[in-house]
Formats: sequence, structure tokens, C-alpha cells
Amino acid sequence: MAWTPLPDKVTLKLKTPVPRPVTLDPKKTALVIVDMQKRFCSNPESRAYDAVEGNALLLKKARDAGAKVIFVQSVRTPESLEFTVFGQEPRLLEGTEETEIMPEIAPLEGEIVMKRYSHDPFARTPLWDILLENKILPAETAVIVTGVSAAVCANAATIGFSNRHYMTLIPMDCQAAGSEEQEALIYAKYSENSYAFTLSTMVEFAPVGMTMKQLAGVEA
Amino acid sequence: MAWKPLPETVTIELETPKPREYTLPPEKTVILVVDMENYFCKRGQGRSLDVIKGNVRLLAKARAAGAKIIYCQSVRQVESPEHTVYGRPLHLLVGTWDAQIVDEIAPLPGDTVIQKWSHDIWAWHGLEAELEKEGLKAGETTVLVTGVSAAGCAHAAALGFSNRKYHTLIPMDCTAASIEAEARTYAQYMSGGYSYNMGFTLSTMVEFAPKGVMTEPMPVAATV
Repeated sequence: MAWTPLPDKVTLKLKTPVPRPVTLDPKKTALVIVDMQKRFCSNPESRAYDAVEGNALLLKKARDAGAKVIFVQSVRTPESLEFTVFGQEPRLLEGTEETEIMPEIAPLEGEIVMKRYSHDPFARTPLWDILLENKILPAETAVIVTGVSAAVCANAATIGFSNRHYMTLIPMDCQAAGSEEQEALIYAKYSENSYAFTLSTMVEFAPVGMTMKQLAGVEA
Repeated sequence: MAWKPLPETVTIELETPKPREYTLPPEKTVILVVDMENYFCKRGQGRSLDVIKGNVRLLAKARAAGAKIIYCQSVRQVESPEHTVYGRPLHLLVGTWDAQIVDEIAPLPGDTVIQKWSHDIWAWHGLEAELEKEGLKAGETTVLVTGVSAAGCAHAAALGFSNRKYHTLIPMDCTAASIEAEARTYAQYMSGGYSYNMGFTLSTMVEFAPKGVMTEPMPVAATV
């Protein structure tokens, strides 16, 4: 058939994913916290602010269990192409207060904090080397991705891990976008078995965790 | 405030993007053709079958102008994690008819073909090195991403270019998913995180200036 353009408007009725409990082996789990920074999370009226509490709970569980934690921090330089070529207002400049991670979940000494200079933690960063060095390997590690925005940077991280064959967990109370609609649109993307939805309250760590196939819903 | 879960169902009315005309310098333009393979474009039904013609037109223009063309081709092995861990039936096995690029736009000698083993051309597959070798830099190069699925592999490719700060265009008659998935995906490109360097066009609306006539990249502000 001949290609037909989209209608001018499309109405979507999106079912919200149902979170489910997961039991994870801390040796086969990484918690990746994306951009939980003052610029994004300080406004008490925002869903990003509301996600701090879930992150604090999940981070405590991961630290207590000994799971690997990686913070991803978004920074820019005045020379970043967003500003010099594409005309955006400078923001997130290195060293400024707005780039600091929220104090409730501040990284501890020895934890990995990886700076990046775009939305995507895999774009021109050492993330892949960090994962290999820490034996966080595809198809045998569950990666829990938290942070903001669920529709931009946390999304790039989430699909980046799934596309690299990691079992990718989305704790819905630990990710946030600017609105419920934006979150619903993004969560509709995560339809394959390599994604699973949960909550910070539903994540437990135990020496014998669920297998990747169980997390993927492929096996009971 | 305490975190509030989403409602069980969220209803959203999305406006779809309006394509625009572009005249591009061929020496600073890349066409990335994603997964236009028999498995997606010759089987069954759906919008993926309808985008071959647009790709033929766009590639003819790009070839005539001398723009860089890169194909990516999705292939899998029996041992791929999608099959062994994540429960997906065997698909796109190396060497099968399914994994071949459709005859109508088969790569020509001199075109670059990158095989990939996941949805994402940016995951491990050498695209960065190819762009660097060709001198196609972020901030001065426009990339048109065609192919399927607009919400899966072509989406990963397009987001990856935008995230690496390339001016990224979606020729809408050259890429496809379901109507709902296209609308949802394009809504993300039109949102604040991406609209600054992404835009929409059609194969009929893209023209190339003669080589050397346009040395500057497109004024991107005009695309938003």
C-alpha cells in the first residue's frame, strides 16, 4: 500500500504497568541513579521531588545488601554544543550547585559517580568500561534504573541497558517525569521481557535472587 | 509530597508533527537506513511495508548528491540473549532471507553496512568509529534516520544521534511502526528534551544543494 500520513491527532489510552515484587541477588544487581540533582528535584511541587524518598529507600536497601551503586551526574561546559550550536541557555555547568546530587541520597566515599555531558550515559562516557570492570555483565545482571527525567535522561539509561541485554528494572516511585502523561508515554515503550516494573518497597535483596528468566517473566 | 502512582489508565491526545522542507549540504549529511529487512518489510501487514518507496526516493536523491549512506542490519544468533534469556522466538538469524535488506534499496558497492546484534546501533557496533573516519561531526552534520521500527531500532538510532548532539531529522514516510507507536515516539522527539535538535520531514521535502554550495550546517533554530 501507499504510505499514509498520521492523522493530525492521535488519542492513546495507555494502561499503566503493574509493579511487582522482586528478590535480587546483590552480587548480580546494580543500582543506577540518574540525575537526581538539585536542578531537577528541588521543587516540592514536582514528581521529581516526590521520587527522592523512593530513591533513599532503595539506595539504603542496595547499600545494606552490598549491591553495586552507580550515580550518573549530568553536567555541561560552556562549550557544550547545546549552547554553542543549538542555542539553548547554559545550564548544569560543572561545579555549580544545581548539578549537586540531592543530599538525601548523596554518594558515599568509594561509590561510583560518573559525569556525562549529554542525556545518554552510554554516549562518549566510560560507562561500558565501568560495567565491565565491576563485572556487571549483560544477560546475567539486573540493573535498576532510577532518576529523572523518566522521559529523557533516565529513559536513555533505561533503554540503553535493555538494548545491551541487561534485565532492566524500573522502580516507578523512583523515576519521574514532568507529568503523569509523560511517564505513561515512556512506560508504554518498555514492553519487552527485558523490562520489568517494580517499586522501592517491592525490592528485596537475598543471597539467592530470582533468575534473569524469572525477572523477565519467562519462567515462573 | 508523597509519591503518587499513575492512574490505572492514562488517556492522552497527541498532536502529530508537521513535516518541513529542508535543503541540505550533501557533504554534511548522513542517511542512516535502519533494519529495512525482509523480516520487517516484506512479511505480514502494517505500515512497515509502506515505507520502501520513501526510502527508494530519499536514497536516490542522496546518491545523486553524494551524501554518505549507512545501512544498519539487524542480525541474531541462536545464542543471542533475546532468545536464550528473554524468551523471544528465534528471529533474524544470520544468513537468512529474513535478515536481508529488501531488494528495492539493496546496498551498493561503497555503501557502509553495519551489522548489529541488538536493537541499538550505538551499542558496541562501530558507528562512532565510522562517523569519525568520515569526519562527520556532531554539531555540524545532519542525519536522516529511516527504517523500522520507528519505535524500536530506528528510535534507538535517532535518539542516539540526538543525544550525541547531531541535528537529527525523521523523514516520516521512510520510517514506520503502528500509528499509536509512531505518535508516542514522535511526541518524545517534540518534547523539550529533544526538540532543540530534532525535526520532521518527508522524502519529497528533502533536497540537496550542489556539493560545496552550502558549507554551513542548517540553521537549527529554524527547525524547532
